[in-house]
Amino acid sequence: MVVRPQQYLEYIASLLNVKLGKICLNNSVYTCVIGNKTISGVYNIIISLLLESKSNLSGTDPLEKAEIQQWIEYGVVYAVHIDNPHNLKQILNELNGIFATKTYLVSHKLTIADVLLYYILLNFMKKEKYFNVSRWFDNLQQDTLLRQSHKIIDFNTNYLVSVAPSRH
Amino acid sequence: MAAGTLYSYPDNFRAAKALIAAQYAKANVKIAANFVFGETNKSKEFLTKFPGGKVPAFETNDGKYLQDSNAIAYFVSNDQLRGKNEYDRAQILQWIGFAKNNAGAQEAFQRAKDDMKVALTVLNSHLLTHTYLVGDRITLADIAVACNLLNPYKYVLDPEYRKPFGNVNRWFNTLINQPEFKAVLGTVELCSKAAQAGAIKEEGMATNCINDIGDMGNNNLEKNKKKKMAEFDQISETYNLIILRVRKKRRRNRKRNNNQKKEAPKKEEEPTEELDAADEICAAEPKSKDPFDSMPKGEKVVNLTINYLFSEPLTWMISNVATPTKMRANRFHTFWENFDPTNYSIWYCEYKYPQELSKVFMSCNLITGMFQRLDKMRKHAFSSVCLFGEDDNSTISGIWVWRGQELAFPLSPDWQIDYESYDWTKLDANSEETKKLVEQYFSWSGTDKGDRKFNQGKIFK
Repeated sequence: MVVRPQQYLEYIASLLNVKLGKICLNNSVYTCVIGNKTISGVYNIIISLLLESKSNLSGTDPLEKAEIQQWIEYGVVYAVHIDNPHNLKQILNELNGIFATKTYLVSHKLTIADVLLYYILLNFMKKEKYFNVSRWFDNLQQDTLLRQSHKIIDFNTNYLVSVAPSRH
Repeated sequence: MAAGTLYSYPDNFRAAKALIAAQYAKANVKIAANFVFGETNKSKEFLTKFPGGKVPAFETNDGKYLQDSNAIAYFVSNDQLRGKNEYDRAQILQWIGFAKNNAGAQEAFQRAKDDMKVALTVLNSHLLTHTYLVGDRITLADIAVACNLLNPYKYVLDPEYRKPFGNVNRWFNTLINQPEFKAVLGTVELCSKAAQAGAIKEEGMATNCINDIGDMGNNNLEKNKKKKMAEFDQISETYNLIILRVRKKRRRNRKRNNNQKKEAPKKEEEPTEELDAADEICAAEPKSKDPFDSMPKGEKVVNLTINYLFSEPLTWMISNVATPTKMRANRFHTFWENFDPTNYSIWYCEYKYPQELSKVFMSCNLITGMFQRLDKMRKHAFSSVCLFGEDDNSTISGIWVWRGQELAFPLSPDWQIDYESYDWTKLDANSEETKKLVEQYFSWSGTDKGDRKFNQGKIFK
């Protein structure tokens, strides 16, 4: 089992306010209709949604665009396997390292890369231990447009843990 | 929307607060053209608008006036920056207060480095669980604290020092890379290696900061913190080298002065000391341009007078009781005769925060520390700064003479650490009052405005 593309693509489409056609599996490639074009491949779908929306979540220079591409790939190829406890640990560990020195994945602003990872991690966020990921996640979920109908994950205990660390 | 004119000297981190806030709010804030620090803000016109005479100061297009950087920043910002509810707004005030008390750039230089560490630790643990200081967006709190940390990050907090504060670093980096911050601050380069003297550009500041770190290292030694010891060892060593270098420089200058006095036009003697590590550092340093180069050159005779007047300050100034008054008067006569008011100016300075002065020896260190940071000014300036009163009831004031008619400190970033803590008044070289004042300060006598007796004096030359 993996996190299915339908789960996050719909959230992204709704955040970007773009109409997303039905997602079908054609010869093991996800395709869907955006606008009046048929797009195949999850990465292409995300980029098309972004282009369609003209939102400011894309990168501004080639380097940022490349980094965003990398993180989208990381998300749709690798992070979607987060439902496996072993992977979960590894992914959160990796991201925790990344967010130790960065506020957002790419550059110094919110991009589609953060948004995608947020929707993939949504149901797997572990409190405590991964302070940096939690901080990033908490910051993102305060945006009601981004969070949509999801419940806010309460990180208050995180704050307590940082003040008075205890062993589990 | 707020629109108006901001008065400040260039690169003022306090003014930057208001300018960044204005960037976010898209408020139309212009910087006053032709602002000359020490002149514009001392003019009658300015003082009637802003009685404190301090900058940054703000004048709205419809003729309202505001002082204090935080107040101005608040005024020109938008609702997002001001906080979305009462609790957020209260927290923002809390952080602005924190910035003022703990993370002040200028204060940080003067205070023990420990305080800076404490402040950064507080920030670091807050930023572990928070992306920004208040709420989930950048607010005035972030702007205020980041601007106060701007100079420390640029000049003091080298990678080794800032390493334990990863969350603060991340937060600071994110902020200075926001387009609104960049529009005001440009690209901010973080202090790269204060621990290696070869890379030191800001000599004065670095010496001072290393001074502070060095002191701290010693404290920790006593506390048996072995780990920290190792951390500071390297820095202390560099610090010692720099102190050595400064002393040597001074020794050499003194020698040169003595040679001049004998009027021996011999070639300058090669320094007899062997080159040591300190000299090597000296040599490796890029030769800095003298900020006074742009000034018209004064009559040589003035330099000679200065040398003459100050050649033996210890013999005739300190023991002014023993020196016949006549002789002193003669010296001053020669000074006034040769003083060149077109190329030199006389200034009176007064320490702004006398209520903060406690022990006399600490206040003296404050003065000598300032002199040390102004090292490069020695060629073109001299002064006598005096401390009046006793422990817990004292004031600092002094008389300065330097080349040029403007306040000299903005000429070099090295010199801008201390001067803001003083009020500067330009004196009229021809008036009797000035003469009296100058003679009082240079003969180390009399009392201050509050009738406190002269306690100690320091000469900068």
